[in-house]
Amino acid sequence: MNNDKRRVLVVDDAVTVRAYTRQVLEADGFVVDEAINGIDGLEHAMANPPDLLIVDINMQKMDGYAMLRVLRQEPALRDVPAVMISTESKDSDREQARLAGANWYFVKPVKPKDLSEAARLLTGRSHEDKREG
Amino acid sequence: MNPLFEQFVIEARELLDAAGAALLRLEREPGDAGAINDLFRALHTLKGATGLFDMAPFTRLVHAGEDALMAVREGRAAVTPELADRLFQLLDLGVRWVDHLDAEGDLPDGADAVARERETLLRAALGGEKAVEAPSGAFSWVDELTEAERRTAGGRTVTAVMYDPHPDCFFTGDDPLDLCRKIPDLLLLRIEPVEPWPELSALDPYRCALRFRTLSAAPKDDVARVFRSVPDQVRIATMTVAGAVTAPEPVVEGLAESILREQARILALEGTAAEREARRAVVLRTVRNILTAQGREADRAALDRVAETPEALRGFVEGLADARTGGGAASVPFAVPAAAPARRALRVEAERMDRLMSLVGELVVAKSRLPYLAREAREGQSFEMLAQGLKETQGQIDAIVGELQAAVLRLRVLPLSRVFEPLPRLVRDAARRLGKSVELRLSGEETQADKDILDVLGEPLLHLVRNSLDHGIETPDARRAAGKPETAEIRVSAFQDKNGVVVEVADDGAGIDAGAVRRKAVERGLIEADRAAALTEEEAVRLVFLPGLSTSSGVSDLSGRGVGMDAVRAAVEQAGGRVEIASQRGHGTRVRLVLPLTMMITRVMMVETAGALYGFPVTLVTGMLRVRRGDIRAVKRAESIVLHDAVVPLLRLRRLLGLPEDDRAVGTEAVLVVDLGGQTVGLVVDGFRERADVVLKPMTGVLARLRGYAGTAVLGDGQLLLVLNLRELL
Repeated sequence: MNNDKRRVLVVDDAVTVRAYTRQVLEADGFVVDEAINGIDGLEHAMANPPDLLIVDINMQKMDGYAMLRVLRQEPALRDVPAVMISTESKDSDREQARLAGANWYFVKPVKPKDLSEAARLLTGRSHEDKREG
Repeated sequence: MNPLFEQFVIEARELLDAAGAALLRLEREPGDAGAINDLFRALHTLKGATGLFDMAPFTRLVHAGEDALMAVREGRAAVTPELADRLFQLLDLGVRWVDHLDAEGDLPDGADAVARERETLLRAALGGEKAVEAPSGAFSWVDELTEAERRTAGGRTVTAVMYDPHPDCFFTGDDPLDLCRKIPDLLLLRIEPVEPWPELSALDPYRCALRFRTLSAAPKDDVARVFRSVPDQVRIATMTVAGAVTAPEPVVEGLAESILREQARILALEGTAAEREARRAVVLRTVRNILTAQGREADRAALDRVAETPEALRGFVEGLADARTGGGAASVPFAVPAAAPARRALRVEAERMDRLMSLVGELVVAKSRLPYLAREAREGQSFEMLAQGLKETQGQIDAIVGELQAAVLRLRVLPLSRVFEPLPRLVRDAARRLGKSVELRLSGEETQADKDILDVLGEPLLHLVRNSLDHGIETPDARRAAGKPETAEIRVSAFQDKNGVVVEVADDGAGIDAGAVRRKAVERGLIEADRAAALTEEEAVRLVFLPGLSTSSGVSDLSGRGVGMDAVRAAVEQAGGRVEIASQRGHGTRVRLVLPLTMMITRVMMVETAGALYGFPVTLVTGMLRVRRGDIRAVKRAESIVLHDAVVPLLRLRRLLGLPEDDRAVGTEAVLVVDLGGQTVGLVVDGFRERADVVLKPMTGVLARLRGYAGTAVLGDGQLLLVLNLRELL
């Protein structure tokens, strides 16, 4: 067990996107947890606060915006860095993500390199620090 | 296979299925907003998933569908039958492509051309504009660059892009300028009006009136990737530009700087005090993490000093973003999934897996009692105590193994809705093609059966429904003339009874012409004329199961296109099941498939003959009788009995197996009534025994050549049971 590993919670309703994100981040030494919608994401995050959230916008039951808005009111979760990922690239969508509490916004599809670089930066892991499980 | 790719294949299939179901609903109820949304969501998710891989034609295809739905959703187009057809075709093509991807790892050759063609057709169905075709010399503008442009882009091989966004692109979420900005190694960006600017009052600000011409130093594929979501609106070419001066390397901001700049923007947002405080906290942590990741210790110390003052923090973060500019992130080519043989995946609910795990746990605990008993035996514990202990342990293990077996079987159990799924689509398409009006009623989709059984069931079920559509159901005119409602009904229902799963396909069509079947069977030499004449209506109808009767050129009103009822029967019997048919002229036909719940475990009826036990699959057994010897009619050695007013041939198992004749003095014979695919036969055995669930092992080695045996099974008490294949015996 390596407790130093950074934990990333991926919230997306598309199983392929989750699997993709997991594959990229695990290869880079992150521990990845998955949730399938905003409500599920909140439950996962509350039970086990992650070091980083990667959240899809368009999801059933509770979308990414709503999830982040709730999350930002939770004392234990309000300062967890969050990345939103969407197929929309309009400025208005970015603005909405920002208002909901996202720290960064990626437009799908995200290159693996950008994804792991962002995860590394947002969780404070240096390049040399590549922990193997 | 790459697990991600494998995941994609599974998800893509599910999404296409979901899209198909939603489209059916939409066609039936064109205003159904829920159906539009479901369909749109499925396509949208699929498009996102295809975007993860290099399969631009697939993305293009799905995108075309998504566009069409967008038009429907916004009321710009209606769900016409033509549009629905195009969308169905699009989904079908998607399914074929997924199959190809699954088998070969890539899209079929020419996929791009096919995708473009579908796109054009879809657009035509929408009544919209034609797809863009690049006229020759379209890229001539590259040769006509200004001197200033030549200085930055000239003298090298470049990738030229002509991007003509849809006028409605703002409604589909495209941001043309932003897309152009994402072009790697951008050398030139020209933005031009498509047509001369109109009067300001006539300008529609919601329509895109611009087109884009760009040059990039990046390879064509990298540029094409940027335009993945709008492949229909771009033309991309590699060309060489004459010129002199080499352009300076463009400065692209690094991801860290971009994220830092975003944090400054977040701090600048308006909001309540609580919101601003929450933002400060998360920005602080984010910035601190970035600085830590980059090893900027001094900046981090400085950050801590301004951390508590929002204004100072914001200024500091802005400064950090400007402090460094890194090189542009080089694009990483995406790993192309390697081709691998198709694999069978079975999705299992987590609960069922958990149940299995807990049972295995119990088994381990129960088993641990055994070494303890062994030690007691060694230490001279009394036999009685040992026997008692062994019996208890055995009881526990028995119970757990029983549950384990049930749990493992449940893993493979799936609802019949899986095989029902393609039916609505089949009925819709065929009815439209044949000009018939048909209502399909499904029931019992939730009935469960083993995956192997579902696999067996799929094809025959399609055959039967297709038969009903083709030959059972009359045209609306004919139905009206016959005093029936114009809309016919096909009912497909499933339920479970004690012996297995029953699936029925029933229609209220014309029914089967027993006379025609009789004539055909005689014509083809499948049955002798006098025997055919002696058959009851019911029996004559069952002749359709004979091989060679209902194949391609069979009786016109009950078959067609090589869909043989004998093929249905063969498939079902192969799985240990049977087929029944009942038809009434003018009123309809009902075909019933009876299948075992699983192929792993066969339920057998055991009989005793000449001192040995034999088994028959219970699905074949329709009854057990005690017949007085005097009631057996004999013509020479051919015996028969009368059952429900029908003559049933009687066969003696001893004779079939070449065993000595029964010389017992008994007044009655035990007769097992079996249904051999339409033909009822009575089988004389020495005595009936109980039913049992057995694991059937096929005959192997030398024994495999023996005809008449389906396999062997070991019974609970260690006895060997021979399970017979009656069709082979007769």
